[in-house]
Amino acid sequence: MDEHEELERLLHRELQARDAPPGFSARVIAKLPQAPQPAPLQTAHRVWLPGLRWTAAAVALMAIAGGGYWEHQRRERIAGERARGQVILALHISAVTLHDVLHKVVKDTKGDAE
Amino acid sequence: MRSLSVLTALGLFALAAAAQSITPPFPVTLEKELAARASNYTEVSLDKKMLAFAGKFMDGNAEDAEAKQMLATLNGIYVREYEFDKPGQYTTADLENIRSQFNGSDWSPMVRERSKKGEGDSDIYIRLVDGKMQGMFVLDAEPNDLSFVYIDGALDPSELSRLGGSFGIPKHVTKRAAKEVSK
Amino acid sequence: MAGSTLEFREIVEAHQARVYSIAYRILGDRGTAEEVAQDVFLELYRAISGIASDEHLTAWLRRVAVHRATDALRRRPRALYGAAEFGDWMTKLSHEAASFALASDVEKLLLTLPPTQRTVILLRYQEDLLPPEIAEVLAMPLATVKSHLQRALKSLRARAQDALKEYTRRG
Repeated sequence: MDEHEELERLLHRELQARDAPPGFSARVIAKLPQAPQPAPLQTAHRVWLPGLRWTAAAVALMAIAGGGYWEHQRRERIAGERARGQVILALHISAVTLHDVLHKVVKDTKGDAE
Repeated sequence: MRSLSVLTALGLFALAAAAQSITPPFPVTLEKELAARASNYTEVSLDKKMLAFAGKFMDGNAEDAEAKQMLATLNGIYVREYEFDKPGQYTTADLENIRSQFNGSDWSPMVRERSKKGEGDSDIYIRLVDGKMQGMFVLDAEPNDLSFVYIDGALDPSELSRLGGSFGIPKHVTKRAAKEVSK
Repeated sequence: MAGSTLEFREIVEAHQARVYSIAYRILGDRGTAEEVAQDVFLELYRAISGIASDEHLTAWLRRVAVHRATDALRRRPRALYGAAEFGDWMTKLSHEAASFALASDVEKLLLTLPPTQRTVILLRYQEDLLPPEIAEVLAMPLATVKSHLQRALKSLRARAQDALKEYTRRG
């Protein structure tokens, strides 16, 4: 097994969800509002769908009517999302580089002290 | 295998926004040489207009909000990261060439680590204007990796470090940093 | 106890480990992790009529837990910044090392990662999500998720030597 596979196995094994503190669920229930009771599961989406169909139809009509404008918006949105991704990447690399340098300083300082 | 997705994205920037002239703060010839020798590289250059453009689309999650806040006071972020298949793909002179961009009187070296075992060098420089940080340069050089970052603008390093996650820095390291500031 | 409250408690007990683990492993602090985890379930209580299936519930809890924990990280007190405060900032960081005390070795390693890398690792190895699913949870481009994952694993590999040796010995 190579080092990468060993690491992945370690992570899978050691990152199984850990138990919540004892009494956690009781503390959550104690904080619930008294009333009203929550509706049962599995009903909302059936109410939601018809509304969504009307909204989708309206959007389609607007798209046909304003095709050029929407296309410009779409392209700008794509470019903007890529720009955003680049910013996040740049900040991320900056933070990691700074972090790694500081860790080396710590390591070398400990080495000097020993 | 070279990583070209970043350069493709940069090409899209040029299409979407009016063509912006980004003046890189690093020696361009050296950058090209490093990229040619690297097995993987990432180069991102974002000036104030690019940061402002990206900021308009940063509203998706908590990280966006934190990053957008940081961008408000920045003039640019320039990041270069190179991975090499083997050591020896850059020289001490190359590193000096990069550092020389940050030799002005307003730049203060905060960290200057030189490994005696050839494990690499590390530098942090900050630019001070009226006593406030207005820029930061970080260089992290290892035998098979080279990264350098220049952030231009008013910067709160704790905000950046929250994105970076920095634990376990003992107090005696801060004394060394404080000495560097007072020189 | 009212029927629907009993149902809700069952939901909490079924998912509390997941939610608490996400919060704890992002924050590194048990007290704040429990507060965040409680808030996630209280938010679920308000939103539960919009949950369509068990899969939807799991995805909802995962996404909200990640976002609330990340919000809590962001709200930690800001350090002052300026020339002379650079050293002070590094002092403040050293206080955060105390949160290491009760974590497992792997959780401690995880806390050395930047928050987003930490979150990506959690979603990949605790929640068993693939990169495209992680991208959806974090509203992040797939390439960025892959970059975070690659860098996180590289950092962990470099720092995990002792943990790996012990794991191999235990078998």
